[in-house]
Amino acid sequence: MLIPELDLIARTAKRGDRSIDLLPREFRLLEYMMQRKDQVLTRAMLLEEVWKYKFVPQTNLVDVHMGRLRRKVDESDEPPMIHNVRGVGFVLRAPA
Amino acid sequence: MPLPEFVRTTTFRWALAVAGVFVIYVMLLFGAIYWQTERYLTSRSDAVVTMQAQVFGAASIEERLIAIEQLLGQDPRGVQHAGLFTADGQRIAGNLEHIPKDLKIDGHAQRALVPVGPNGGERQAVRAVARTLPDGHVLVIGRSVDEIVQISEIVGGTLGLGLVPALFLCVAAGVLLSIRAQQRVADVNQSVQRIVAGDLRQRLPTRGVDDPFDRLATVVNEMLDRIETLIHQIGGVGDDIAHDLRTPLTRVRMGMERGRAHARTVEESQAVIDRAILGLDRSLAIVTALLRIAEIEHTRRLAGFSEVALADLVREVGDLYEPIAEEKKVALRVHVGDTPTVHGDRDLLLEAIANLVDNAVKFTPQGGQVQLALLDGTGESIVRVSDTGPGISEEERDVVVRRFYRSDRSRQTKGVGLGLSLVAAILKLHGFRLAIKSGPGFVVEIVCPRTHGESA
Repeated sequence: MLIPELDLIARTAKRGDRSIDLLPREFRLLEYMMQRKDQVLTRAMLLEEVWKYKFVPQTNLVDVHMGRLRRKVDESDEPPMIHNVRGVGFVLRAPA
Repeated sequence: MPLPEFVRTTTFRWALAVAGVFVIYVMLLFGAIYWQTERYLTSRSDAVVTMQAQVFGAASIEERLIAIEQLLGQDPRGVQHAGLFTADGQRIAGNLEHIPKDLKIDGHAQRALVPVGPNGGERQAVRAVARTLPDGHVLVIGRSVDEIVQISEIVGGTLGLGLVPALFLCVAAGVLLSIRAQQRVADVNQSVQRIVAGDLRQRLPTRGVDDPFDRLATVVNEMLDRIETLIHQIGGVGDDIAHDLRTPLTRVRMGMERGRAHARTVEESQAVIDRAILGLDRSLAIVTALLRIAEIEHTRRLAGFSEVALADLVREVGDLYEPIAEEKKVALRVHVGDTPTVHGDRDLLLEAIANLVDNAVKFTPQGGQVQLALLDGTGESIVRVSDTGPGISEEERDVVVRRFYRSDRSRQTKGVGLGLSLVAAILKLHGFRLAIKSGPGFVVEIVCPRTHGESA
């Protein structure tokens, strides 16, 4: 199964034939995760690499953004690609 | 033999210097008095002898001889000298044997030496005048100036007598003052020794008088007050840190203990471990935050500094927190005014603004509103974050920036309470200001004063 396709110049993303409408920040997050697919990414890593945010925020910043991205990438009828690794972080995997 | 200790003090040396200056002054004064007196007496003698010579010269020969006789006869102190001589220098009358050699016969008063004493062996300085009379005789009138020497002896003696007690007073005052100063230094020394030994409540002694030493002691005491307060604060911060770390760690420990006793399946064990990991993450977040603050506080500026457009940062933070606010059902409004760039570290400033917004979103109850605005003030750019949350009281304002402090009303909301301390540290590095305002809700501002060259 395909993982999402990104057009880095047009800043558009596609999953199969369905185009995904992403905000710039969501695009950057997805891009970062695709470059490290199958790797578990911790919240701290994502904060620092994607948001250039060195402090640990007091709100669940990463989870909220990840939730939004996941709703766009994995629609209800599709097998999920973004997985929550409990207590550690997130991972992007091509659906089996 | 070593000198006594007071001799080495500055006060004593100054006293000696003053005494020296005083002696020089008195000697100059004496010189001036002597000089003035001599001038006065000389001019008076000159006037007298000139007048006498004129009066005698105008008289007839008989009258002149009588007048000279009278003049010398009425002179018990022997200060008068007179002589009438023929044109070739033969004595006619008077107590002078010869016309004094160095005396010019021109009618002007001048200094001359005349012989005195029983056999004329000694010579005495006089003011004298000699003139040629119409009948060809030469008239010499002189007046001794010994008075001057006598007066100077009297004045000198008096001043000398006055100088001795004055000098004694000077030295005594020097000794007294230096011993007093030494005593004060010794007192202060003792107090400082006690402070050094660890007694921070010790203060320097003051005498309640408004002298420089007392003022200095007062200033030092104020400094000691401040240091004492700070040390207590640091101690308090340490306690707070320990407390805030203990709470999550205790919870982790209890959770794991309970899990070990009750978990039956692998899934249950995993759930326990996951909870423990979360708790440890919170403790780690506290440690990370503390280290980050220390790192920022010790950063030297310049390294990562460049021109930063605050408008971009504000938009970016708004963008970052919009989903979070939405999830909490809090309205996040972003207003970006037109402001010049500031000189600073982009990442750190982003972090500061993000922290304020993070806080605001966290403390604002559901249905509330958070406003993030970039305003153009007079000579400064202002990033203002205001919310409709519980706000803060006047007293809490200063304390709120201190590490780990959290407003009592927000104790139930989770968070490590280090946000504002971090923001304060970042702003301090930039020379910006954090303003916390009371109002409905919580209003906090980052005030960036515009310096020259930043408006370009």
